[in-house]
Amino acid sequence: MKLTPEQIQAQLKLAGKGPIAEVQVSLDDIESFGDKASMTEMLTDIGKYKKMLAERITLINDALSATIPFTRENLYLFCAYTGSGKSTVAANITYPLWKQKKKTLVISNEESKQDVMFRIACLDLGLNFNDYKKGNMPNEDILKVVQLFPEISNYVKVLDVTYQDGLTTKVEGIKKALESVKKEESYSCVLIDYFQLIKYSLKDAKRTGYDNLNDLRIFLGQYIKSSTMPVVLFAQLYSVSKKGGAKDIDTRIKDCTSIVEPATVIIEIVPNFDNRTSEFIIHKDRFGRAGNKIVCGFEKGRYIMVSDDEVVEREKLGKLAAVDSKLDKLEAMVRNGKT
Amino acid sequence: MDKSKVLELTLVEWIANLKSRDRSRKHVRSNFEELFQKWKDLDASFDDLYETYLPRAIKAHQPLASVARNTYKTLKSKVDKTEKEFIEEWNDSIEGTGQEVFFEFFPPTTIDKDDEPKVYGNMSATEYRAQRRYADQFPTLDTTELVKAWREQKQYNPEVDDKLENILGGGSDETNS
Repeated sequence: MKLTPEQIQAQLKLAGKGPIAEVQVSLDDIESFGDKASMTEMLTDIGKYKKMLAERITLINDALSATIPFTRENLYLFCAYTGSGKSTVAANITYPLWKQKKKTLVISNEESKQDVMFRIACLDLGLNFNDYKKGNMPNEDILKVVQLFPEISNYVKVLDVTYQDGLTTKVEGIKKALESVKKEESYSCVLIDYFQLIKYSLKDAKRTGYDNLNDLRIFLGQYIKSSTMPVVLFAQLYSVSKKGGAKDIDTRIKDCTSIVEPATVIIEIVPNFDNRTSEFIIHKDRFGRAGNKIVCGFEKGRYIMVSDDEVVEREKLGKLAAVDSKLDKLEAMVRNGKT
Repeated sequence: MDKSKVLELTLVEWIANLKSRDRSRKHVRSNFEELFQKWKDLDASFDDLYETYLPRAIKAHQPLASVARNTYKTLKSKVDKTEKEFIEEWNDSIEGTGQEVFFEFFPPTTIDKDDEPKVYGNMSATEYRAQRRYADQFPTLDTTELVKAWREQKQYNPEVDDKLENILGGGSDETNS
């Protein structure tokens, strides 16, 4: 059976491929700028923006919270080279919100749900999560950690890679999860760890990883416009040494660089092992701090505020520790009769 | 279908789609990324692509000579370059981006492969030093005053806020921090 031209047009329209309506911009439209209606619209938007800023919540610590308003209608892209602190930052964002009894959804494609919870509990108890991972944590401490799980899970909800056979690695799974928490409205924040792992599609197995990441990017751009909470997305970076130290973050984001477009804030995490600090480099910021970095101390898994003097002191201690370590090695060599 | 035919078809399809795409400077990278990701998903290797398909992809993204000439004519008064310089730069910039993105997707040796021992977390000493040099380029922000304001919950002058409230109407100033 052949379709009539009208039926074909209707089908094309349904598929989003119908003819584009003619665009009209009249002189009256242009001249109406500044009238009562447009003034009301602008003032309303200013009011909404101001309200959005006033609803900012804690971002890791006071230094970061004060500098970068952490609030709804924004997509925060935290980037790092592998092993440079993405999951630690996720726990550091979640921890103060849990303490303030604010609900957070953590979508974790890398760490298991128990590890996500473990990290948060460790921050509360001042324990080292890596001790647990290396099997060095005493059973008494592990017990203390797991005893916190029920309390934490009242406010921290985790979907990990085991949820519905890897639904969180599928672009449709992420969309559904985000839509669900948006409807519920009691959530204060959503974290997605991490972007490059969401490269599959349930609907179309033939779609490429790039297509799926790009689809998610477009969705997030639309989603945050009316989101009731800040959305934090973690992303993996290429090695800086292989990129010749390029200052531009765009070229270093793996697999789908266009994620920089919907992100309203882009922060890179760079650890400094010499002085036990981490640097949060602000690459993009709708609030006006781009091009700067914030230095935070790193203590027992937490990013804490430090003054400039403390950073200098930490550097001195770091150098002393390095010298001590070299001396220890030399002593050991002498003891073993090596020169 | 053999692999080279599939790679060829992917390129032909991409070139066909390119005609209706935004090919402006801002989109060059993402256009190439899309093609290279498709090749990657087909398990293509550096050797499969570098000499045969990459030059064709770059060429397809470069402007037609007539388009380049017309663009130059339009912008002539705004650019301080000859037609030849203008067109060469345009083509070079597309080639540069294409090559750069290609190496990200198909490095001759894996881009993140680092055989040195890991000394700092997951990083070798070389990578760590590169990261430090990179991070040192950025000035440290003095957050003292910002933090003071944040702690006092006075990010906004209350008097100005009150006046604004009258003009804008509605809206709570309560923070939920």
